[in-house]
Amino acid sequence: MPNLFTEQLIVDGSLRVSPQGLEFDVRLPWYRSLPLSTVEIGELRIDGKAIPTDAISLQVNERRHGARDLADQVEDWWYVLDPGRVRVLAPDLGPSSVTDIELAIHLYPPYIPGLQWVIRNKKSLRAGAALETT
Amino acid sequence: MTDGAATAAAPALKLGSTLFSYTNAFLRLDHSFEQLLAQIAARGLGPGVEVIGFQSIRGFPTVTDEFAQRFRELVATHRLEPSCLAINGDVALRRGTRMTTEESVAYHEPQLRAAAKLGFPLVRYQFTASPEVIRQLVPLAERLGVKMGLEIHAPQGVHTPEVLAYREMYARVQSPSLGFIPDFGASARGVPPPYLDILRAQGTPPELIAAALEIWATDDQAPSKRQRLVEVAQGRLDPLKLSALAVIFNMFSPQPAAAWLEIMPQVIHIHGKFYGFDAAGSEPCIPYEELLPVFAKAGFNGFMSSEWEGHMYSLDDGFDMVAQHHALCRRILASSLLPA
Repeated sequence: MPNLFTEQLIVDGSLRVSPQGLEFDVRLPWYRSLPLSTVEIGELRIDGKAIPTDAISLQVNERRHGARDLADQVEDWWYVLDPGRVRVLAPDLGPSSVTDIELAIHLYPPYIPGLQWVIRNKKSLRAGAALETT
Repeated sequence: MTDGAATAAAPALKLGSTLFSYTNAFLRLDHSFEQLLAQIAARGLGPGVEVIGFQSIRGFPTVTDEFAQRFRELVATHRLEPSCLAINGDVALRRGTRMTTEESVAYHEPQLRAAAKLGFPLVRYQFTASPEVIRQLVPLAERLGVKMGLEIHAPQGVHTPEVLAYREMYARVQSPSLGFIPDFGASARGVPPPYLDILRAQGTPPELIAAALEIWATDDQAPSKRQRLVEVAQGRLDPLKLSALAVIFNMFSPQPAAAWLEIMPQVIHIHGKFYGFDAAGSEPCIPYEELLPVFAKAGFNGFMSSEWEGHMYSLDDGFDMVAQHHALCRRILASSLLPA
């Protein structure tokens, strides 16, 4: 079933790789802005390999948060048009020109208490610009 | 809105768009907020414009002076009319917790002020804002001259216990700032085919979909419908698919059109929910031919926002869908005002 939330979840052309790992952009798969406290990175696989939560972080606005810390970010809002930057620290991924990314985002819309909404997609991205290490 | 000659016979119910209908165009970055307003004007999909604060406005509920001024310029230029600001009762900002009444009141206050600053006459609020929260907001709403309308969305109806709690509070408080916003998904005559397609694509057996549709059409409340479905499924469906199937009880419900008459004096705005059209241009699942005459004949003279929820199952930008919806509604409104 085609749906823009799924289609745009992993942003085309956004893959950046480095010796430390990789970065790619994700879009908030909802129709409105949400605080990061209601966003959860449910599952991430790179080239079929499950990435541990501790190796994943997400940046929207100016601040980067570890995937485990998102639940506390009540004040940091993800504006619905802004891409979020997912960073994966995984030095053992090895260089490859095409990377398979499989991502599930869980949302907990704050006006529908109790609802968990899962959006999942898988894409093959070709590495573009090198990741700036900051 | 009308071209002079037709004014005398013009229906009082006014049409418009909610920007929710164009979610795909906005999220794809095809159309900015300003371009959406321009498109609505160019295609005649106004004059009413409903905006979702947390969708269209970066930093909402903070609204900068620049944004407010630009918005007022745009609606004036395009001859649109701000009809409703959709606000949210985000009581579970922290997962698994609920705001207190005091916190929730404080969360809604800036949203009401945003509506006044942008020139919206009313806000749409949600069930997560309890009757007590709304009661405490009345003085501010009256001071701002902004009405607050509870969106009565499926599976709620004019007689469900949750709605009765607001009706009782409204009767006690007697404020002109208090109203209701029917969402026509609560007056469906069937479940929209795109949702059934999603269920089939997920591998839900056709006989269970058929059973769910039979249960859907009964007068039971959503929780008992769900319970009956669980009994019928008897473990034949995994929990995720069962939940997806049971969602139809919450998204659409079959309240008769005339039921809205009971709260008609308090109706301040309408969400004209729709999903698609048959070959004759009619909405197969929402009986507009029954609904609109009920509101028109009762003298409802507010706006109805055409609300297409197609971004859940389609990549369409929504403009042609709303145009078809407006054509259908104009036809019905014109004939419902003819002498019997």
